[in-house]
Amino acid sequence: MGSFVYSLKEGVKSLRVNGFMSFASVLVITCCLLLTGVSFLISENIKFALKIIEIQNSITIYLKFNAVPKDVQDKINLISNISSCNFYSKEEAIKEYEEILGKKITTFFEDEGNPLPDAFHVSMANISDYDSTILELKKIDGVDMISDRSETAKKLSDIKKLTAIISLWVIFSFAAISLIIVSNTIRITVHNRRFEINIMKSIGATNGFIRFPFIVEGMIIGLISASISIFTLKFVYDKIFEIINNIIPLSIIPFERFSNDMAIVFAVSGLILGIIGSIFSIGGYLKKEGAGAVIWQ
Amino acid sequence: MIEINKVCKIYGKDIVALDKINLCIKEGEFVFIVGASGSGKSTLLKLVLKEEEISSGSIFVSGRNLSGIKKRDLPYYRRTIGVVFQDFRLIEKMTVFENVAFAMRVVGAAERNIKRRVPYVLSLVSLEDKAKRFPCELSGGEKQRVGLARAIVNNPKVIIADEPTGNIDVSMSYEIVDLLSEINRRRTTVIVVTHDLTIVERFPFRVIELSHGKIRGDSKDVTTLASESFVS
Repeated sequence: MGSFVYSLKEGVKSLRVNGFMSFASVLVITCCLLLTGVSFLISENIKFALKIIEIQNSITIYLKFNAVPKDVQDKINLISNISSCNFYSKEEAIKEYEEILGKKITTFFEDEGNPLPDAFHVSMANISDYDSTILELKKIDGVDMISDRSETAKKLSDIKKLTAIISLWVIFSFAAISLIIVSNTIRITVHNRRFEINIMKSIGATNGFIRFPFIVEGMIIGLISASISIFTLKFVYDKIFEIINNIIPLSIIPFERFSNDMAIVFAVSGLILGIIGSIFSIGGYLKKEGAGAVIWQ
Repeated sequence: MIEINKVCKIYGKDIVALDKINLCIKEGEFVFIVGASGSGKSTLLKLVLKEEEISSGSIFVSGRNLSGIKKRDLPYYRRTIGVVFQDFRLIEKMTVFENVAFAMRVVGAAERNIKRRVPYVLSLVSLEDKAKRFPCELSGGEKQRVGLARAIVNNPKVIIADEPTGNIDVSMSYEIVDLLSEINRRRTTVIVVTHDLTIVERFPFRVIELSHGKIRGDSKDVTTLASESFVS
């Protein structure tokens, strides 16, 4: 217990002694976490916007004149990717035409009757499966034509994939940068304390005892960075949310929806980065067992 | 206690630091190891502390073959040996008390034991009134006494002192060796590496002379040794 408290104190003390490097590490990791957070928030908001577009982006299925709408609707509803299917009768369609083009339009085909087919407005749950869903719809008896929006679907799907890939790269790149920075800070601490470490080794300190204060230092750096970045991110995001909402009523996910999860993820990431960084930097030093590592240099 | 059998230490391909050394140091013995620079004194200490691996032969300490000690058990082995350095190796930002307590903390001692044991050990080296001083406020002799207190605080079976009088004046040197011999009276084996002949002459202990990696003399009588070879 005594050595545990001692190691904790040493970790905190070392953070203070290496003030500038500790500050630099906190700054860099905060920036990395912030940029990762920004990338995550942008990605989540794009996904959210795409979802809204997907919901609004319904396709129209035109029926053959002899088709029974009820039968077709039942078959459409059996397809798993269909999230909604609303009947759009030929009477509603002609009425819409009249509203846009005027009453005169109907006089052209008074004798033949309404030439427009019955239709369904259908929305897909996942626009990435657009092509396969269209194929399934085309196979249904009574379906004549389907309005083709494959281009839009493809673009939406591509944006989604690209956002996911960019987010992933951003997260990995910044994690790697943070690791290097933490490692270097701890390495400087190790270098500054090599004299103490040598004495520790000569009087029989285990590697765990020597390592622990450095791990504590890394953990504290990680946790401070995580706290600063989550608060900064919340502040900036809320401000942007407020400004955008005042200009255009755009749908942005409120920060509160992420705050708990993000706080946990940031804290854990900060801790892990700190721990791994310190293990990397002290590990190599502790391996150097002979050749002056203990007494004679 | 310490049994060194036909030990060779070769650095690189052909730099022979120790050449088939045979030596036996009994429990509770006080031994001076003398010799010029490059004679193999420090190498011998490194091997006993298992900081370096032997090239051939064997070393037994308290019946334990050092070659058989695994890396993870090394710290526990080293806890049985106290080391005194020529340059004191005190941590400047720590007080005298903290420097000695540090050695106990490293081995996981409880805080209450540290508070009880450190003042006692400091009293053994007559530094109880300087517990709150920092190393920069002490004389060379006092610093070495702190080093000595740190070496004995964990009750080691062996004390290894590498030129403990090298950085202090003559009267203080005698005081340090007096303290070491006092520790030795309590059945702790003491090995002192030195090239200071006046110290060796003054105390009636066994003297082992090393030269070019070989034992040239092993006697309690310093006059049988080639004294000119001590000059480093």
